[in-house]
Amino acid sequence: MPEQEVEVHISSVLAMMTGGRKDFKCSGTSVRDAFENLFSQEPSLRVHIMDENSAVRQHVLVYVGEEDLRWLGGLDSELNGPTNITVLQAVSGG
Amino acid sequence: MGVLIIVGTVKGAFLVRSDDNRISWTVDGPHFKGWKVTAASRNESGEYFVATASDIFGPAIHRSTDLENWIQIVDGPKFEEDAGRKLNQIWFLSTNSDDYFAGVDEAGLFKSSDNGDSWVPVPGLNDHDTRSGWHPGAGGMCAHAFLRDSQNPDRMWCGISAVGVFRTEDGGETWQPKNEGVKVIIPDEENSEIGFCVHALTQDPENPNVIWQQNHVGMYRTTNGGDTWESIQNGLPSTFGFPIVLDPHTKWLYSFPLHSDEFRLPVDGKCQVYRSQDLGESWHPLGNGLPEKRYHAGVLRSAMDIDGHDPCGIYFGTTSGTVHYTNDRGEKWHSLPDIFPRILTVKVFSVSDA
Repeated sequence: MPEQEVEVHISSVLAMMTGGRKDFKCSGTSVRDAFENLFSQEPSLRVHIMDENSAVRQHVLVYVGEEDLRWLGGLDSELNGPTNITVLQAVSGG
Repeated sequence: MGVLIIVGTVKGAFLVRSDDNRISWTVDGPHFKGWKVTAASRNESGEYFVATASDIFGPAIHRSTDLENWIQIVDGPKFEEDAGRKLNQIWFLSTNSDDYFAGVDEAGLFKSSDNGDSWVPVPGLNDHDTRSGWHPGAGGMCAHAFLRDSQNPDRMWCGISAVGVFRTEDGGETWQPKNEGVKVIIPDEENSEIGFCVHALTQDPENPNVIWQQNHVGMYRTTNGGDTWESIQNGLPSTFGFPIVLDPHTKWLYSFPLHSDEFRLPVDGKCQVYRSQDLGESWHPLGNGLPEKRYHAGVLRSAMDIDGHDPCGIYFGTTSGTVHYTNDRGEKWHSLPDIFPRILTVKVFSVSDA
């Protein structure tokens, strides 16, 4: 699979940990690839998006385009073209 | 010397500053807006550390030299992938010696020997022989209390809620439960040395064998480094409460009793700090300047601290977001005008210019 250009957008709360930066230009063949590219640019984000088992944290929502990552097959989902990845917090907590 | 208070809340940190008089204050914040700020510390070089947490995005440690620009530590405390444990929150940071320690939920201790750049688990405690009998209390299962012998840095104590106090004599390689004399709360059929719910610890810096413990079921004192504990309830209105602090100048103690583990409310609707002027033998209420009635907020285990001044200032933050303080050892109390989010931690630092 060819590498795809991806724009990753993170939530405002998460951007507190990146000096306010919310948008990142990344690339990869899969969502996992794109996230690894994101973490190479902004290492502080890894612990906030991924859990101890290198899975997406339970209450973190990841959308690839308009689709929830969980319904696409998870982190190894292939990227078929340029797209946006959005990292949001689930409507839980206080 | 001025005073800096880091007030950690469920929605960020606030920096509260005053000069030596500790009468007028400035408030700056929130820092880490939207994040829980659960612990704060300073190292011997004057760098500050805070721990943040989020139910969604997890915990992290941040470091700053100026309290404005914070750098997240990338290689922070983290359980190994096959440990089967989840790191929910950092409960304390101890950064005033060469080796730093962080206590976490789910219960564990981490160590850094490179100024906090990287952290490794402390297996002697985290994988203790009694671990299978550790069970969470209402506040989770957290390593929240930490003491270090001022005369022997290899000797440390760590308190784990609903488990008990552990002591090491060898720099953290091995740990022994030290709870004899404390009433058990969760009896363990296989190991009678655990099941004790420590809430907070404080220590005489000049005699590290003398330690006081606010426990789930009472106030306790040891004079032999935790080998045995004795109950010291005389004058306290209840056995329950969270914080306890010591003024190193007078050796006076301060606590904030709550009405029972069932209710966890101030006794009789009064906001009262209790003080002992005789090493815990007897306790007396202090309320001059504090709300005398219709007061229903609590004070969490990390939300009371004391400054190093003489006369000392004592500061506590409440679950309803108010901060109260004294600058005369508790004779007269004052309140900050700000209403903060629920307060998780209050840490006080002496600073050269406030």
